[in-house]
Amino acid sequence: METNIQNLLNILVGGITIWILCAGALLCLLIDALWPRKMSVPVYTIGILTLIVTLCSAWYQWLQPDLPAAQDLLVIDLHTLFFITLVVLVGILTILNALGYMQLHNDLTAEFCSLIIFSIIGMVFFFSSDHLLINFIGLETMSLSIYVLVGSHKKNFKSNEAAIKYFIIGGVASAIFLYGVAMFYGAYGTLKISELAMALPTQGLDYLPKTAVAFILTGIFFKLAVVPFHFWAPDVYEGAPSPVTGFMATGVKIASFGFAIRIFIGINVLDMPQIQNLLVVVVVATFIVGNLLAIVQDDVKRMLAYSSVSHAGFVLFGMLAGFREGRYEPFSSHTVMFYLLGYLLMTLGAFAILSLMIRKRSEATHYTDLEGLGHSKPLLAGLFTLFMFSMVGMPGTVGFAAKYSVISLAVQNGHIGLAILAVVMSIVSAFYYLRPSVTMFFKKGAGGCPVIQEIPFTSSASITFCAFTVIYLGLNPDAFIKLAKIAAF
Amino acid sequence: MTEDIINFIPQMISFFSNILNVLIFFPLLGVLIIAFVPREKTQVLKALALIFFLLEAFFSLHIYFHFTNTGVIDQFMINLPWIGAWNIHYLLGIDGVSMLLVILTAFTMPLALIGTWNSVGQGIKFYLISLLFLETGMVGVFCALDLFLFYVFWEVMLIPMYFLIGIWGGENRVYASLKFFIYTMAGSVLMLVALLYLYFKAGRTFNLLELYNYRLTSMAQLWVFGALAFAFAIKVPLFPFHTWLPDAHVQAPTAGSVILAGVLLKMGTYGFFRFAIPLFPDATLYLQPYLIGIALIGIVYGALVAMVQPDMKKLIAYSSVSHMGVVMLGLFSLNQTAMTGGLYQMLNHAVSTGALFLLVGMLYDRTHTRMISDYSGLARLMPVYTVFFMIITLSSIGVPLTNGFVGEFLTLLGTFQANRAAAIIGATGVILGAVYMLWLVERVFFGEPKHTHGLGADLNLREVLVMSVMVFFVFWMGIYPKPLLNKLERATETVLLKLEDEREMALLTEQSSVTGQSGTHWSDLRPLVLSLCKMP
Repeated sequence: METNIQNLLNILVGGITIWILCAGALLCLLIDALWPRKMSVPVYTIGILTLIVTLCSAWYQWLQPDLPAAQDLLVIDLHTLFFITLVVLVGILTILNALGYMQLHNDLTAEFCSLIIFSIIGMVFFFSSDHLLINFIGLETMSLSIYVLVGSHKKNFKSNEAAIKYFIIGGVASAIFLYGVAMFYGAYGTLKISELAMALPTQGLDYLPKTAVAFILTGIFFKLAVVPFHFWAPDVYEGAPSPVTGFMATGVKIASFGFAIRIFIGINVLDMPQIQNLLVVVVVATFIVGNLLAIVQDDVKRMLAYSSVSHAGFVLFGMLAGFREGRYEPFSSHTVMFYLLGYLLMTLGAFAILSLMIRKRSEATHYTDLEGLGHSKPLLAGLFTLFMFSMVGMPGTVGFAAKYSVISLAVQNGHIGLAILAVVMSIVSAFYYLRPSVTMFFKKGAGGCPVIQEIPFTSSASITFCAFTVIYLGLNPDAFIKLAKIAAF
Repeated sequence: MTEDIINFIPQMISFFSNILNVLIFFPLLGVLIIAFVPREKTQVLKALALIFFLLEAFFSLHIYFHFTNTGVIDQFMINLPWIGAWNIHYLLGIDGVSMLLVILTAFTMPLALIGTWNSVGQGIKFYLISLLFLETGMVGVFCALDLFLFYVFWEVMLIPMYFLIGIWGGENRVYASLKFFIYTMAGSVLMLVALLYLYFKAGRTFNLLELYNYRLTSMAQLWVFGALAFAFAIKVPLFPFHTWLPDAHVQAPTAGSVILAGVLLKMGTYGFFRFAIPLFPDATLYLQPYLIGIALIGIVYGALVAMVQPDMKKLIAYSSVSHMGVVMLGLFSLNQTAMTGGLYQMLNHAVSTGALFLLVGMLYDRTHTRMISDYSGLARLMPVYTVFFMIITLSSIGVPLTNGFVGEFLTLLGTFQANRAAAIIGATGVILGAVYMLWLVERVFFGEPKHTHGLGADLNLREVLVMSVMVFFVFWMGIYPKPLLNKLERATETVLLKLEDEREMALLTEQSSVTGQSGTHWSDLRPLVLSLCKMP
């Protein structure tokens, strides 16, 4: 009896971050249900506060000398805490962006906030559980909330189309993922990653676990939108409201990588040569297709969709770069984690600015809409250019530090061919990342009202935060690399 | 925490007690201050920027007068830890070559600004910010001794130049700015991979002074040298990689062209001198004939193409290709005379080509055309302008008593000792240089006066002042080059000694270092190499 209570207490204390998130999300939902459409401001305040408290509790746990012992289903280790920090940061910035966006579109709905928090809960389960079924439930919680978020522009045709498309393709991806999970169960009779690690033979895996791994990978690749599973991305990214797009481009990918790192290091599947070859093919294809297709886009949002495809390729390349003589070194996952941090900041900064672009009460993210922005709003245009330069990987921005850490890992482990491909592709990426700055600064405005009129306070807060951190981490990434190193397995 | 705050000010003071830090960060202070001035106050903005540029030039004199000519890179050193996780340091230091280049940078900027005082109307604030930012990057490139830090400055400097060309450029500015950006970036990212390879091979260090004592295997040297040479060759620019230059020069605003010709191109040759040659001696010796060949092609090709240009700015741009070829020829002759001459030619080219761009810019401000055919008989209409143009032309050709002569003569003299054929071909470049420049002068200044629309008064006081400074440098560097040559000589001595050490080492371990069947090995070049060693 006493041990049971002790256990329960442990679970409560260990998973404190998740309980806070759940409570916050439910509270938001409750307030909105009791006083519909009247309490948006308190709801958003509560939402942001929830996330901030979660962040604080995650850091508090980080600083504890002994983390709660491995739980049955939930693993609270530094890896989890690092990723919780990332996704909660994504959540805060997204809510700030969304507030500005909704204010401009005059469309403030309170359920948006709780949906974001619910999907963050899903993400946390996704990457922190030791049990594949719980991972799956997390994946579904995350995805279902996002399906709704994508369609939250109810009267917009494109938003509806995007939601349906994402829902169908996401459903297929989840099914494939689940099929892989089922195969593991069929082969070894367990779904716990730690037990699978024991059960799997280190050499010469037979076909069943290989297929299972391939299926699970496919499910993740769908979520990451890497080539050849990227076809949904541009349409969905374009149709979804800009803050949601930013959330998808960062949160979902971060959570998926968090899960990928956990499972692959946990059960050593990466060491199979077939899986490595698969990764090489996917990385090369993603680099080439993602970057080349981004060049021909005429819409900034679609361009950023393809850019997020190629960034996902870069992160995957970071995983691949961790192989030394055919074995993955768990420690080298810190480069991936640092990359994700940088990617988060620059992407959300760009989407914060994108969220402000409005013309005739609808989003205006075509390149021609940017014309003359450099003259009417030079600072904002400059910051957008900063985020673009960071994505190219100019020194002095976090994008460079992130790309540098990945490429340096690749060179260290002898993947020089891939490293050269990666840098060549970042030259290609300069073509499309420079295009907004060309449009904003080099072309004289065609007249007409500028696409950005007012900048709500919340948006400027998140833009400022992103810009500051992009530069700060670019110049002084030391502390955060060390954090990632501590958090790496 | 409180201790940190208390320590902050003394730390800052000790940080800025190093003159190189002042030179690097002072323009950034200017950026900060100018950022807070409203953009309507154009005169205040320009005056502020000018003050910053002049003060920077003044500060740069400090390194000239407090410089001890040791020949190695040990002056004004500073070494602070920067990114501990990657073992990257904030390491600065200069020798004679970098000192002169820093001073060159610091003096080019105010002259470029004064010379184009009224050329830029719209968006002057951002223009000045870009110029100041650019100066930080350029000075940083010449001072950085940590390869990572060098790379950071090298890349960051692209951004302001990209905006300078893109916003204030001519008709085709978007194309030119993108081409400039992407060409340069293409070279430098490959350099990054090569530097990383070197970093891991040498035991995780980017410290140039430590890397000087580390040697890659011959084969690896070839690859890494190749990647660095690619980056630097684009910047110089060497023959097949030069196509961005005419576009960038023609489209850039005058100040941009002056800085491009005066400083940015020098980074390429500086990179060869500072990094590529001393870090990879085997590769240098192995590839020397090819690089000399490319330099020669550049000299002749650049001159021939310059001859037929209808656009003055384009003509000068191609003449840059030719002149930078001379610099490369000097550097890769690998003897002291030629190398010193080549380095001196870097400074000359900055003065003469920078001045030519300023002069063309002054004409363009009046008439808004740069076509040679639009002008004729300018000598009668603008006599003062003509005098300055003639003097600079002579310096560009390399007439004795002007700076150009010293550089070209030393380069060709040294090259002749190393490789006669190369010197003979290189000398044709000088002749062709005289042809295209004098032909330009003939067409523009002599003949029947043609009143091109907008051609008003002769040079005003401001323009005369700028050009007088330029002319002063032309004659000073032509008549009394000794103080400058001294400094360059000591630096080349050090590099050549390193090469010689390497050769002796290699002679001892000759058998072991041969790899692959790739034809010539450095030892095949030994007769040539040994003859180089005996150079005075």
